[in-house]
Formats: sequence, structure tokens, C-alpha cells
Amino acid sequence: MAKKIHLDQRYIVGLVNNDTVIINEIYKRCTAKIKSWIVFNNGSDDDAADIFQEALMDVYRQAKYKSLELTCPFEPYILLICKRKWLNELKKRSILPVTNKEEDLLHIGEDTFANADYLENQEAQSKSFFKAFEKLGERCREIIWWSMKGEAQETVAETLGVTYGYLRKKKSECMASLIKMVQSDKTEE
Amino acid sequence: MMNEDKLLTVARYLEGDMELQEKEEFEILLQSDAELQELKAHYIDVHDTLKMKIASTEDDEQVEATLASFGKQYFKNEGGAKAEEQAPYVVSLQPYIKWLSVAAVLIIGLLVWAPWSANLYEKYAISKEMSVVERSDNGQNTLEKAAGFYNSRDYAAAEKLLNEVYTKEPANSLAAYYYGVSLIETGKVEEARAVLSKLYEGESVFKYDAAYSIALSYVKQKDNQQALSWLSKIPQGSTNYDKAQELSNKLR
Repeated sequence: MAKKIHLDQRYIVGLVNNDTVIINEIYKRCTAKIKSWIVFNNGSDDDAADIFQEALMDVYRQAKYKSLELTCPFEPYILLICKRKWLNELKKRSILPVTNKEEDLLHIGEDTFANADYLENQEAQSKSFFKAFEKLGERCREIIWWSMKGEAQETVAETLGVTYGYLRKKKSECMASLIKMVQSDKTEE
Repeated sequence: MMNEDKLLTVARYLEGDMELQEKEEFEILLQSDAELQELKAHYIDVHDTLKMKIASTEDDEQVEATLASFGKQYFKNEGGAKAEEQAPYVVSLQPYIKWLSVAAVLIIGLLVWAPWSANLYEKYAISKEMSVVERSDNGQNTLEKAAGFYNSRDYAAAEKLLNEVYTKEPANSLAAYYYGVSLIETGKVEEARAVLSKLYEGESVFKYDAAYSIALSYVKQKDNQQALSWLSKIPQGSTNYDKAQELSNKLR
């Protein structure tokens, strides 16, 4: 289902480009709401700042590495992500939230939920893929790790003391076993 | 198993581990094989999702630093300042009430005499904490150490370390800003202005912080004319605007 990209995609673009004018606008628009909601729900200003930054970084990474496309307005989207993050945090700290339903904001549209679900799902996936990655042999982990860090293949080969050809071959094998593992994890679930 | 072979082929294709001819053959096969297409899409998805977790480039760190600095500005400054203003009244009034009239006279006297106008610099200095987003390479460790010194007001030690970072990465606005402020604090005003005006000419988050600090460096030297001129560069809506206006009024 191809949905139209929302005009607020410009915030995502600004975030990816580290555009301080746009990022300033994001903070200006959202700070008060996030702060008051989190403080109302047993958090501090610091908690609010941390949660907001975490949420923005998630969105940033998703946009940068997986070309996130926003099909809903930005503000309710990021607010919803922050709320879910904070509710999770409260669960971790075993504190009961004051508001335990996110639906308390009536004007949140269905698209916003779908977009936030997607991001959450992606985050969960990246964690589970990483777990699979950790189960690989040491050599494989090294090769994938350094390649994904964005180092030039030649540099990676040199660092690991192997030839460029061997590195490519080994990386394909390692990635194939990783994907196999991910697939079997999925069928187990 | 069939699936495994296909998976490896897809991996080799995407990782550039195929000779030209094999690659072309694979691309033809790909067009008609739905399972292969699906595997390719899945491969890319897993690859990029994992990459999101592993890759952490300088760009990412810079974005995180920008967010951290805005977070500080928006979430912490206002609340913190208010708390500081209100706290002394609550605690100190009761036990000292009999001294209050004496104190009042003294305070009024002081207000008229205003001996601290010589020290407007300290009063209006930005009490920003230097915060460094955690990173692992060596440059960053130096920054973290510098932040420790800076926040405990050991500006000489901070300046030394920040000088190192700044020389290596002159485009690092965080390092430049705190380097500039440390230079002011250690009395190297000229050098400080050189660093900070460069920062002001750029387009970083620290643009107007830099202007404000330059103004303060002139306040320190009692060059009110220059101080006022720098303060006037700080636009309405930026964090230091109110402080800058207040300070301008005092200097006029």
C-alpha cells in the first residue's frame, strides 16, 4: 500500500541533515507537550529530555539507514513514540503510570499509530537481528561489524589481515548464515 | 537445501562477489524468480536494519550532539534557572528575620554603589554544562575528559585538551565553543575571540552562544561599546536573548 508521504517529511529530512533550524523548530514545537506529559507521569525534566532525544535518534536512524517515509503528521507521531517509550521505561522501573492509555489524545489518527507501530517494530527487529548477529562466529562478526561501520572494504581486509577477495567471499557466507538464522528464529516464534 | 543455495547466491550478488558474467545471468534469473526477489528484499532489509544498529558514523554522532544541546537548552535551562531563583527565599528567611532590616539597608547600599558591576562578567556568564555524547574513538575520550575539567571549572586543564581536539577538528563546533570559553576564563581573550568569531560566522548551534561569549569577553575588559555591539547580534528567540537584553541595559 503506497501511501502519500506527508509534508512533515521535511522534519525527517532536516533531522538527517543535522539542520539546526529545523531541529530547533522540532524542539520548539514539542518540548512543552512532552515535558508536561512525562512530568505528569512521574518523570523528571531530564527524563523527558532523554526520551525525546532517544525517540528522535530512532527516527533519524530509521530515516538514514532505511529511508523512513512519514505518512502522518510529525508532531503526534513523535509524541506517541515518546509516550510509548516512557510507558516502557516506567514498566522497567516498576512505577505505575498515571495515564496508562495512549489513546488519551483523541486527535491521534490511525496513520499515526501505524507509523509509530512501524518504527517500534523496526527497533524490535534491529534488536533481534543483532542477537542473531551475536551468535555468529567471531570471524563473521568481525567482518560484518567492520563492513557495516562503513569502512572501505580494502581497509577492512587489511585490518583483518585477509585479501579483498577472501573478505567478499566470507562476508557473503556470513551474511547468508545470519539471514538463515533470522529466518529460523522467525519460524520458531 | 535449495533455499540455502539461493540465499548464498543472493548474498554474493549483493556483496559484489560475482564476476560480470555470473552477475548478468543472475539478474536475468532474478526477473523471473519470485522467490529470489523476495530473498533479495529480505536480505537488504536485514542488512540495513542490522546496519542501523551497528553503524555509528560521525554524522550520527553530530546529530546526537545537536539533539543533546537542544535538549539542554529546551528541557533543562528554564526549569533549572527558576529553581535557583526561588530556592534561597524559602530556606533562608525564617532564622534570619531579625537581621533582615540590617541586611536590607546593606543591600540597598550595595545596589546604589553596585560594586559588582565590575563583575558583570561573572554574573552574566552562561553556566552551561559541557556535555559530551558518549563515543568510543580517541578524540572523543579527550572531549569527555575536557568536559570533566570544564564542568569542575578547571578551565586551564580543559583548555589544554580542547586545544588538542580543536586543532584536529576545527569544524567540531562543540569543541570550538567550549575551547573559546575556556580561553576567556584563562585570560587569553584575543585567542578566544578568534575561535569564537569563527564559530559565530558559521551556522552551528553555538552561533549565538559564541556571540554572547565574545560580548562577555569585552565586558570583562570593560569595553562596553564592543560588548554592546556583540550583544546586539543575538536575535530574539535565541536562548541568550533575554540575558543579552538585560546585560545591554546595564551596560548603556
